[in-house]
Amino acid sequence: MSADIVINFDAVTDLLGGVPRFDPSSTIRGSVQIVPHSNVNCRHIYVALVWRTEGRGDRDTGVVSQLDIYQGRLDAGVPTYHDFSFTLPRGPWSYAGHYINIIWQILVTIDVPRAKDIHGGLRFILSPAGRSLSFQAAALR
Amino acid sequence: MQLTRSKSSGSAAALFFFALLWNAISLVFVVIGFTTDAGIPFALCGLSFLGIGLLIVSAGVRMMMASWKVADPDLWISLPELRVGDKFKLTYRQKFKGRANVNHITLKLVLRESATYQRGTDTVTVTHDYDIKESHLPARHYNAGETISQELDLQIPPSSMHTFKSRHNELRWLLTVDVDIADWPDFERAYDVTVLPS
Repeated sequence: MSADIVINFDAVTDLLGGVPRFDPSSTIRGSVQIVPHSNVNCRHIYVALVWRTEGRGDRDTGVVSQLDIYQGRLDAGVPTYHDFSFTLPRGPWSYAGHYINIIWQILVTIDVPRAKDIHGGLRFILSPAGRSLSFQAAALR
Repeated sequence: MQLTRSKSSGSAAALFFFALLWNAISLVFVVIGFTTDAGIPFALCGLSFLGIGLLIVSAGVRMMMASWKVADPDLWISLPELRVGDKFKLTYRQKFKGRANVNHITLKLVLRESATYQRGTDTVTVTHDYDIKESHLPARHYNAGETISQELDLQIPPSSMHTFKSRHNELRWLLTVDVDIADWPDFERAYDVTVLPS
């Protein structure tokens, strides 16, 4: 069971390395387009605001907020559209270090009964303006 | 705001207690190896653990010796709380308990990444330090009762990161003090500084 999940952000004013950047405590808005490849009777479609760590350490994750945007039938090849809006927290900021990276994303989960959930995600950067994501000691001196 | 010593900056007493337990258990292995049918390999295994235990004792002795010459430093920062980008003044004071020829004293502002992961049944933690600012006090002879006092202007760089702690990953800001005493173990301490998002 699969589906095409396309996530878009509204009002992106700044990109950092090609990735949309949002200020801490601001509002992030967007839409999700889902096109199932077969008929799906989904229990829920969740849109979540999440962060996770990547790098040497075991992964940590945080679900800041989650919306249950749809319950019911999705027909094969028929696109459905859903809007979302979240108020971003003050932190943790996005980070790219030596052993640790902190990644933010909007994560869409289609909860399908008796089958594997279908996921789609779109990354963004949570950081104040003017801050470099990559943390290099030399650049700080 | 006065800074408190980092919890991971171990004390000599804790190290001694740990070494005592370690050596007691190792000694049981050695005794069993030499006095029962368990045999020499068992005793050798115990002896190698005993060797590690003695190294831990020696580390404890070095920490204790360092404390004989100098008292724990007092560190204050000029702001009640720190945020990314903040400029602040660090006041450092440390009293000498005995005479000492100091090669140098190093004060450092450090951002430390600490990542913990499972490898088989072992839990491994790796760290990486970004030395943000380093200041050296020059070589000097200090008499017992003398106090070093120093003020430093520091800044949490605007392009850096706030303190972050999750289950396996941590970003810590530290102020470290290293007193290098000639012909004597170094005195090292680390102090946690919480940096908030700006």
